[in-house]
Amino acid sequence: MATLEITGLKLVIGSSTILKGIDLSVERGEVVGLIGESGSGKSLTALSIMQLLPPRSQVSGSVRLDGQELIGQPEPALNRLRGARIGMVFQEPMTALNPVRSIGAQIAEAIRIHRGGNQRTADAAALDLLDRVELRRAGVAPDRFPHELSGGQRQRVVIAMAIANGPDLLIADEPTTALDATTQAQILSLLDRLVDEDGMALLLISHDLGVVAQRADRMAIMRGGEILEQGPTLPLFRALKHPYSRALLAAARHEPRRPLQARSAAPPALEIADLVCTYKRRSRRVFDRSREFRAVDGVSLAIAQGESVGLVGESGCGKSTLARAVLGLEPVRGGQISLGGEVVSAGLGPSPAQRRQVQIVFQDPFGSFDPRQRVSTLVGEPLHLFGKAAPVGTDRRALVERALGDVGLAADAADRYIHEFSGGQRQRIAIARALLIRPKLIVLDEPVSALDVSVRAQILDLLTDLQQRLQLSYLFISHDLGVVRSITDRVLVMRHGRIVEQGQTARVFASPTDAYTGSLLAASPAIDAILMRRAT
Amino acid sequence: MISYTVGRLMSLAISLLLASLAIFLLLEVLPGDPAQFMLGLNATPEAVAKLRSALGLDAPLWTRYFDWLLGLLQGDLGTSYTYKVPISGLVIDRIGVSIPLAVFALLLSMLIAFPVGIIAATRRNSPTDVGIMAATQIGVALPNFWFAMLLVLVFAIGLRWFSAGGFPGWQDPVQALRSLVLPAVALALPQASILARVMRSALLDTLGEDYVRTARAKGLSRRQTLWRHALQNALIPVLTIVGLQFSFLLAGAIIIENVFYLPGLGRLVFQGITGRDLMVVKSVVMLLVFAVVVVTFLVDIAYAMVDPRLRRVAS
Repeated sequence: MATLEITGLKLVIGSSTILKGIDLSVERGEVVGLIGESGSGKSLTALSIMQLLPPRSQVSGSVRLDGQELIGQPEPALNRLRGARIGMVFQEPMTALNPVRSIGAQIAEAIRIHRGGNQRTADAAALDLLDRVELRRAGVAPDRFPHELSGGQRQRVVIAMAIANGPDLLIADEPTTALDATTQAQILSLLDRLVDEDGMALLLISHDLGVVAQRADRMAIMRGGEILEQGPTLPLFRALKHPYSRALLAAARHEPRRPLQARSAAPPALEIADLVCTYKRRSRRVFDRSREFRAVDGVSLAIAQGESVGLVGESGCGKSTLARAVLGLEPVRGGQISLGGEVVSAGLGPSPAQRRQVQIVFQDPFGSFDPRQRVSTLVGEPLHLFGKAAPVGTDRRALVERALGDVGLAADAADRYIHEFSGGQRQRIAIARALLIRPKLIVLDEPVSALDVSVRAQILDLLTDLQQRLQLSYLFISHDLGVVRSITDRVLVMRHGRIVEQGQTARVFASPTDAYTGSLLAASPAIDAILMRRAT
Repeated sequence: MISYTVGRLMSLAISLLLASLAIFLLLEVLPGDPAQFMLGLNATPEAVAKLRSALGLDAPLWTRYFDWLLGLLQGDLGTSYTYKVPISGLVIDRIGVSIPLAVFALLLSMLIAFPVGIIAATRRNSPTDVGIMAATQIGVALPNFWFAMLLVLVFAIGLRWFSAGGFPGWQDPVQALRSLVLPAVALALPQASILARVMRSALLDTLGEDYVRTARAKGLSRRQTLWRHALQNALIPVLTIVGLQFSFLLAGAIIIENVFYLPGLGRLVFQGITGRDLMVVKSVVMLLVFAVVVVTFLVDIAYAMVDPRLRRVAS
């Protein structure tokens, strides 16, 4: 008997049908990957198993845990199951923990709620669990609070709570999506080890084919509330039948075609020499002087006109601070920045003329627009850099429509509001905003990290195409090495505020000279490399 | 925690100093000379000058400010121009009414608002919730002096449960508390309506948080999740309102004190203003500012107790 047996699971919320009959099973000690893009219903499948559905949900079909039907169970019985026999790990470790209670207390609660006993035994058990998720050796004590931990550490705490009572089934819903490549690899290895040791069944939900290809024994591909196909991972990858599955794999492998750029004689679009940016770190003592933290510590780089340069590194390495400094959003403590061959004044920041040369596209297409403004206003915003000379009326409108056309959107998009667009379309609008005043350099700060695989491929193609047409330079910041490999000429690897390695992208990826670059690469292999390794 | 407390204390001291300066200068520019006012329109200029010097009004501005400030630091609030007695004596009598009234009203407000807000949030969009929201809407809109008169009509004149006004003093604590019941209710109900609405929306926010879902996934029931996880987080915005309300109840009860003939601080300030007794106004307003700042400080400390992110500076 399978640990988890789902048959004909249907879910209707309000008047919309979310799941249209899911059949899926997970055996003891087995890892089953559930792949789907946003809106495919994969997360609601997980919540249906937990019976933690939003109000006005109607579930039908069958979900069995070791033969016991879960659908229709009374709430108290489900409370005894949740956290005891089914553990769940969520996507967003930054918000999954209660900010006002210590991590030890939160783990101990998971134990006491099911096993009873006194606080002391629960605390001791919590300490053991911190050990099992490798936090104790990292020096993370149980009296710490969530805000004192990194994203990866918080995810370990969530895992500790999920496995606290030795569940039969562990559901991990995008457990590593919000994490860096290296942290992702560590968390996945931890899950692997725990599944091996405890012999639980693991349902691994992800939009990332690589994650599933690496770990899952079997996998299922989901779209629009249905499972399109499922089977053992390797054979299924070799013989994907459904066109959508094949398109998904093609998108994951996708690399835009980039002809070699002719070297331009123009001055570099961006030149940085010995740049230093610091933060004041508040001291714990009252009268101590605050210490300085060097977020960017002596970085030099140059980006030629028409060149695309990648900047990779883990979160907190200083790459976003560097980007902000280039845009004049961050005070510069040392070194200098030149835009288009002209040095940016250290005291005054970039002049309006210099500001017109650089634009940025942010990571989050949902948070980086004012929801109360029309797209025409949003896209036209950079025009204020022209001051009184800014075009108005039909001239302005023509510029906005040209920019929207550049990114493949219709002119009437200008009259709509941002909530009417999908994530991929919003990112196109963000690019249109950056293109509007025809800058020389665009800083792309994780521009495709929040997007689904297929949309990501389209945006990468768009960026490549625009670069060639408009002779743009890119500073492409990402923690996703696959994306950087596909779209950049040169790459810089950043760690602790310094550049540890740089060179032609192909060379760095093929034979890294720095050990840190090597570990980054090992943590995020390309999908074909994974499949090849697993096949042997 | 210590560094946080010391930081808050320092900001408290600076607030008080700035407030004292503002109050002093504001009353300086106010038209109306106390000496002239006390002696009446027919007084000779010599008599006015004599009184001015007797009251210390002819000293330079800064001398008078620092004298007043030094006095305050030593607990000397100065002497009333009209009553010719130390203001501290006047204030102590009044504080005995105003602070118990404010505390009484605040406790009442929280006692009503917390359960009501929690019930409304947990039964969102149910008839109970809709009813509570409608009732609190009316509570917010009611003018409290009108509500106070209604209370007097029903409970003092009609049912004769409480007296209609006045304060017998604390010699008989039971009678003293009884005379504060109606004013406290009149003050508390509009405040409770606001607080209940804040509690409801804060709780609804936290109930939608990811960690509440995590708690449910651990196997906690809805009720356990509410008490152990949602409530503590919801208290953070609620505390802010409680602090503001206490300040309001302490300083803003003037109208209610007048309706019920209560000898409180509000009436003292009012009398001071009408009689150009600027010394009383200055010192009592300063005292109220002090109370407000102290309450703010206590709220800040309560924040840190509820929210560990304020206790420790992230490393």
